Amino acid sequence: MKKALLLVIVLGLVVMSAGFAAKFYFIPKIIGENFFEVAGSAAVAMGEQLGVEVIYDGPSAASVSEQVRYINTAINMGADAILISSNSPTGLNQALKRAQSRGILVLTWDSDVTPEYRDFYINQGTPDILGALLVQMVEDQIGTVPTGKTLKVAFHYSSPTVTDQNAWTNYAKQIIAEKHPNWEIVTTQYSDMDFPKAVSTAEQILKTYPDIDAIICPDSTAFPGTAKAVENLDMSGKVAVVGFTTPSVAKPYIESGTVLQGGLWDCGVQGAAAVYVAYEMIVNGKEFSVGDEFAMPGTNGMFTILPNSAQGYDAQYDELENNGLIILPERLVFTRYNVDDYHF
Amino acid sequence: MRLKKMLNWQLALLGMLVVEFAIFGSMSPYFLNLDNLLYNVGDFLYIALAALPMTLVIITGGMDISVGATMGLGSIVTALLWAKGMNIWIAAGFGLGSGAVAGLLNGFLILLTGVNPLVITLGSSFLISGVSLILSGLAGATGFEGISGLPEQFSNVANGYTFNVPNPVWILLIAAVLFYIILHRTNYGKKLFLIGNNPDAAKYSGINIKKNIIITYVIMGIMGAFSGIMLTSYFTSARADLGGTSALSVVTCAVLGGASIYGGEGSILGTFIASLFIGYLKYGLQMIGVTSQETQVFLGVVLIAAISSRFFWAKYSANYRNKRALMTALNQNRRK
Amino acid sequence: MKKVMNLFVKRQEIFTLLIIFVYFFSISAVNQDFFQIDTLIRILFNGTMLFVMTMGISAVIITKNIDVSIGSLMGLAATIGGTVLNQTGNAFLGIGAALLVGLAGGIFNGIGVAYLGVTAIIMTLGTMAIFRGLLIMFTGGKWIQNVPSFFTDFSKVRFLGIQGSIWIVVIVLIVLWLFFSKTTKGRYFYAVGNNNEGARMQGINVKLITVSAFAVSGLMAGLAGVLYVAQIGAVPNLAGNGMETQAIAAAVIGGVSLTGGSGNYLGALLGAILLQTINYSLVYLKVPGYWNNAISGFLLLAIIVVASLIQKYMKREREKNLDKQIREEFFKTQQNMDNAYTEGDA
Repeated sequence: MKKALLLVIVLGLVVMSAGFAAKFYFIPKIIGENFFEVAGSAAVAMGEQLGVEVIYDGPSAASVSEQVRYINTAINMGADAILISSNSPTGLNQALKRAQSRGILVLTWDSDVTPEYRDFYINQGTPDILGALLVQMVEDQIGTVPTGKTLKVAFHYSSPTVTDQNAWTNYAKQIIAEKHPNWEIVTTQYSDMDFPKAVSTAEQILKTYPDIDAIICPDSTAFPGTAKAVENLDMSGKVAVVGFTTPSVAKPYIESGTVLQGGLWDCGVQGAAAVYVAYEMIVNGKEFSVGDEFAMPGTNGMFTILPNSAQGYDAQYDELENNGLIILPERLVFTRYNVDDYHF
Repeated sequence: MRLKKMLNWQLALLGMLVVEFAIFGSMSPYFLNLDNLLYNVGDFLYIALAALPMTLVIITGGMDISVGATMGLGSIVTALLWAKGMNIWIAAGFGLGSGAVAGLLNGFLILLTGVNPLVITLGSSFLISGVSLILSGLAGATGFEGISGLPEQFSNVANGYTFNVPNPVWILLIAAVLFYIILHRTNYGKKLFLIGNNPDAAKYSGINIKKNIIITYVIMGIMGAFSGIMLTSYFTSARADLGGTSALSVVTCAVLGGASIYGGEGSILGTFIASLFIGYLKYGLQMIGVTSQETQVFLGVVLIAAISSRFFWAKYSANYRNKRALMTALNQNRRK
Repeated sequence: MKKVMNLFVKRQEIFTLLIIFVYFFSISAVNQDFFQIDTLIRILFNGTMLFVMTMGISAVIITKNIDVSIGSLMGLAATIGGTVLNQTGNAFLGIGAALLVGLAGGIFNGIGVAYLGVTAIIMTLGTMAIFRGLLIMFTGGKWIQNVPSFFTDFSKVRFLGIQGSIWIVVIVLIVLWLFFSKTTKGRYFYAVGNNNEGARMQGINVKLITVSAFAVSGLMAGLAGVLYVAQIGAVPNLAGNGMETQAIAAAVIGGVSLTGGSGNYLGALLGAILLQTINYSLVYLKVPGYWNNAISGFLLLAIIVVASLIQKYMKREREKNLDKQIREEFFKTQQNMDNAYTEGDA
């Protein structure tokens, strides 16, 4: 009896999956966060459009060990591709190696792993691009600084262990050292993606350095937290607050005038692109190489493919075949004039 | 009497495990794949490894929620020393040593202040994770990437296969047997039960409570670091925040396995089965498509339901036993 | 010296207050900008959620239980309260919803502990996961945002120069203090925490008291949720994560002993203020940001250790006094008997 039931279920699943051209597992760093939810729904939508099954699921805490579990489940469920935003640049390597050995395509998006354990990285922008964007936003708001005056800048984000934010910040600091010797970086603070802590920390920054001119927040919680702190202390307009976060989170502060610009990239496009590339590679057998450009139906602009070294990896990784960075066509800067255009 | 109760609970746990496998196996064809099941042990190895010594700690009436922080500490110390040129195995030894120091700190503070171990280890978990963060910052510019590129021999410990069975399975089995012997077959283990059961009686019967408690927390610290080192081998990368919020899962496994928060009661076998149960529960739920947040809710409900049913079952079986005793006594009286 | 120690021992709140002063002045010595009235107000304003939750959890600790679900419960209450507020535009409905969620959660915990035989730590570990999971399922990952400004303004409105939300904390303190120290029902909580069996034999409905303690804790978590929405203006999915550990530590520092039966709300509040002051001062120290966690962890441990050593000393003194009293009584009785005997002889 049980055997028959089992057979029926297996057949049922087989029939079900036969309806789909392929099965992709789309794994975020953490579920329940706006940024990833948007990427996930866009990925699932793209999957429906193309006729592939996209499963969106991930850990409830941004932990490496939890992510490994999801990778293992994907392997065990016979996924054709794993599309993942990694919580650690090297921690998932073993698990992904195992996936690759089973013939599963591995693509990363938003947050990368060691290049040899994935084929392509759907990249929002190399650290130099994003670091430069941060500095650019400050430049736009500060205008020209009279000679002899120092501009005081602080960095505020989540933690010293989060790879991308640190990579962007380090680049930004480098650019500041080269282009703006009269800018002084007074402090770098962390608030662990905790909103009240972000508000507290930002208030402390504002009070410890009362003549501060700009706070740079490449973290989606530190950014609104800092804006709130600026409003709490009635310093709107006296301090430039810039950073990365989703438009909907930044909107209240843009409307109140505390924040003039926020940056990000369309994470929906990023998620959909991962599915699209995987589809092309698996179902259509397409091969992508460094130097290519392509467009994705439904988005403007061209995706470019750069060698791994552009991200700062060792030159040896450029030798890998069919491997590289797929850069999103554009980054977004949203302001009062366009923040309503976005729905994430 | 208590022994029988414990045995019964372990049987119940085993039963729950079998039912779990049956349910998941029938709902997903991928679940009962032996290869996958064995490989999965690696995923929850670190929690199971920490739950074993946690059983000892809870039996003494204590608690250690700094275990997550200790995992990160063991990981970072090991990797940092290796990055500075030390041999990886010696570095791992130092990593274990750092765990022992953390355990020593906990035990010492708990004895000195008499404060509830929950609070002490709460404070020490902040301190320890803060120290790990500083150490990883001191590792220089690569601090935020974690330290990686560890030697293959080392990563094979958690990733390799021996006799076609993944190493984590062997590690877990060896650890479980080891702790079983420690808790149930040595004098030290027996003393722990006494201390947890009735500290005053233990004191008056000549047991050196302080020494035994410190030993227990040091063991906990060492195993916490070991768990972290295993994780590091599994990922071939070290991070300060490896342990994360695992403290609660670890305590859950120990308590579900039969350890009583009030001390004096606990079983390694129970903890072992409970760890398997919870580990495969997460895995199975994922397989049948339950989302992460639903899994969280489910786990919470399962935990509460399990402990509650244990309570009711004990109550009713006691009632039943009492009634039987009464009936026997009455019958005997009637016959006279 | 002994007199000062005795003072600390009798009223631990004075000790906590002293530590707050010492810490405040020490930080000011390092960075003069810290030494302003405004800093104090900022500390109090940013800490209102912690203060309320600490007082709430003290009720549970006094009855010798624990509750680690208050962080997740606060998040859930804030989420639902915020959603209701946004949908209806009615402040009272929003506040009511949040308080109701908190109360319901607390009662659920209490029933599990008192009637279903689940020990407090397990029960609240379970509900901690349940509440957080429900929260995420409810919001689907989106933050609750765009809270109407009349609601957030309320928290900032100042009476006598101090913000509205701080006044709420004061009111809560007064209400709790009045109930728990001045009414008999309130004293029952201490009795239950001190000696469970003894209280039961005296006719106190221990189960009801246990549930009530958790209800108070839950209600306070709900109130903290209201304050969260009002002060922060948005509710992210991880709202409240980790606050339970802070609240427990604060309560212990404030003299609420985990062995139950002792401690008061003023102490708990002061403990929370101390903790918040530490949290709100690390940037002023101008050390590299990643040192902050280790520093606050170290300070926390140090203060817990000292506070508990004092508690231990207090207990020993009390027992010594009790011993002394008993001995004196005994000798007096002996003496009386002797006198009566010799008088009888004569």
